[in-house]
Amino acid sequence: MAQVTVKAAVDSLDAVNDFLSEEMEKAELSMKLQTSLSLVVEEVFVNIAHYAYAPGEGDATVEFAISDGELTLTFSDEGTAYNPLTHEDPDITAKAEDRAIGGLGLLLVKKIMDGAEYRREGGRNLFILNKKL
Amino acid sequence: MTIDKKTQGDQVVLALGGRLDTTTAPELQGPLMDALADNPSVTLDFEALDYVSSAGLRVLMMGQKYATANEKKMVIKNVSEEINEVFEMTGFTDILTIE
Repeated sequence: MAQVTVKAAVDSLDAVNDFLSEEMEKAELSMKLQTSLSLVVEEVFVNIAHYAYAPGEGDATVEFAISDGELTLTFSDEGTAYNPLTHEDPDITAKAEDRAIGGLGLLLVKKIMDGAEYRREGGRNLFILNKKL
Repeated sequence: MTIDKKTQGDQVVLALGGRLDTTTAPELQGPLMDALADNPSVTLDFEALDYVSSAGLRVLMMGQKYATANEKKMVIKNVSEEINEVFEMTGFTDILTIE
């Protein structure tokens, strides 16, 4: 298990990506999976950066773990309680002119990962994502 | 991300390279919307593009909405398998013109 704690800001995305790349390389994950996980981490982290502490600021932690053939990404922050899984998916069958701009990030996360769980524990948001390897 | 703009007659090609993500997507918005405003057809060449996140999808959606509303054409070509998968997961294959 490895983790990185950074300021919850879009500027920290590079640092989070560096951490992720290093862990994914160590785990010898395929390039295809690395690209997918990079997308997942960007989507979730950017949401935290934009909303968790707004208009204030705080830290966010990203944890990477592999055990029993399953990869787990855990995002935690001490921001406003928010369960991303209650967010309604956008209609992806609507015509271009009727589509909402945005709201697709979490949909991608749910499609790429095999499991997603939200918990509020000790004043922290925990968003736990799993993927079978 | 790199944006390389080429004009051939009334055909404009924006060749993108690198990552179209949260950090770089705002850099595409201006050039894409300007190109669509000034030309009947704009081609986005994804040959050298490695990655698109939802921030990139957002800009492509804005371009497509503008094109649809103003009878313009926005065409995307040379889409990699990974990026096409992102388009499929989000239903973008149905609204974008991909060649």
